[in-house]
Amino acid sequence: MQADSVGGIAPAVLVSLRPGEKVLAAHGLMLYKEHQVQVHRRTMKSLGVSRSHLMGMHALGDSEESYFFAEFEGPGHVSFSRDKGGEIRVMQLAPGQTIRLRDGHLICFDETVRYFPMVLAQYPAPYPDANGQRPVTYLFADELTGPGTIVYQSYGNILSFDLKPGEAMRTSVVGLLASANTVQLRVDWLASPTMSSTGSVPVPVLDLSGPGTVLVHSGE
Amino acid sequence: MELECLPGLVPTVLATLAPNESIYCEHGILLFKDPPVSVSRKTIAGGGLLQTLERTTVGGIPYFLTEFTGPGHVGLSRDGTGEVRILELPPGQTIDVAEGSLLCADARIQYGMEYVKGTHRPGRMAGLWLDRLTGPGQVAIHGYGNVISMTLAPHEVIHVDLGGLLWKDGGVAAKTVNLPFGGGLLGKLEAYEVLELTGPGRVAIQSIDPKAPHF
Repeated sequence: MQADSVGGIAPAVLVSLRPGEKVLAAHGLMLYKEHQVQVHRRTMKSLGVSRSHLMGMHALGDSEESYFFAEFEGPGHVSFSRDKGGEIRVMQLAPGQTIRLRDGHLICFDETVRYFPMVLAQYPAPYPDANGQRPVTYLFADELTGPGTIVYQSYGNILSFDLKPGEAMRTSVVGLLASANTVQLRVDWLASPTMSSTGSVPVPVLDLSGPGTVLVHSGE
Repeated sequence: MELECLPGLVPTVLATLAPNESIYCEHGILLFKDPPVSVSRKTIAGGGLLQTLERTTVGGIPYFLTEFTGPGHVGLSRDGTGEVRILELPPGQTIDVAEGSLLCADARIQYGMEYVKGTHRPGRMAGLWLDRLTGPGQVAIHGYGNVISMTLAPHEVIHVDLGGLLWKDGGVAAKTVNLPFGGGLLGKLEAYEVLELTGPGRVAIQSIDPKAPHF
């Protein structure tokens, strides 16, 4: 499959499929397709994701993981758009290479890519709420393993970092777009200035340590 | 009359009108005008009371259009991130523009409406309306996001997301179709509802559906 980013303000991706080639995308992202491109439903079960795993993820919070994908089969062209601004990147994954992409950013991927939705990190609220509970925030991600091509879109611009073994960096929770599976991730808390009304409200941040690739995006 | 695109993230079209030259546009998209430019109402003829109510309440076609008459300048904006395209229509050439995308048109351009039936699925039973414009004259169109243009050969068919069409030549046939999405009841319920466009003619597609939440 050949994927190219088209446009600049709110880019779309144009995928060229050879006969029998397939690309999977979330339902509703298609902008246009040629008549001869076939559309099918691809269940998560057929991708090796069990229903109980998916339902468990949905039970945790506002996970955007779908119960199925739309499968487009060539020959022909199909175009996808997420109806928003930001950069589109086309990434070639080598066999066994894995990237964890935050949910809501994946546009499409090759049939050869292994897909698995997961919880990237979780953290409880720093203080109890009015009911004495400390609600937990879950960061969901799509784990994608090569070989094959994946296409994703960021909010704003993308900054790429290649961390060496043991090298560390810190990002905001919303700033992390993707990281390699070799990157260790830990939620930490950053003390904020003390406010007279609320006192100090810690801010969650993500501590990442290499080796591996980290992608950060500038929008939220 | 001269139409000029003032480019940027949220582009504007600047119309320069000679005395007694006019343009028309939808009500409410005026950004600025020179004081000598007069404003009047241009009524839309077509159908009876029920059809008018249907296309204005169910569809996005306005009750009336606003006409600006020179001399002077008029600036118009659709308040959306995207691109403005200015087209010169020769006499008799017709284009169909997605509702909510027309910025302005030369007063010489004949205005009409084109209705595309829906697929009778819940939520899309009413179909959609397009602004039908027939030359001669200039027309300015706002595409949300980026505009992708293509020319369809005779009998060539593409499927476009319902919010993706920006404009098409009048000769390009349009109908809404359901693309079954696998088998069973789920496949039918989740079917892709798309616009099937059949050539020959030019088609322009916008990368943002203006009705989808974005930015």
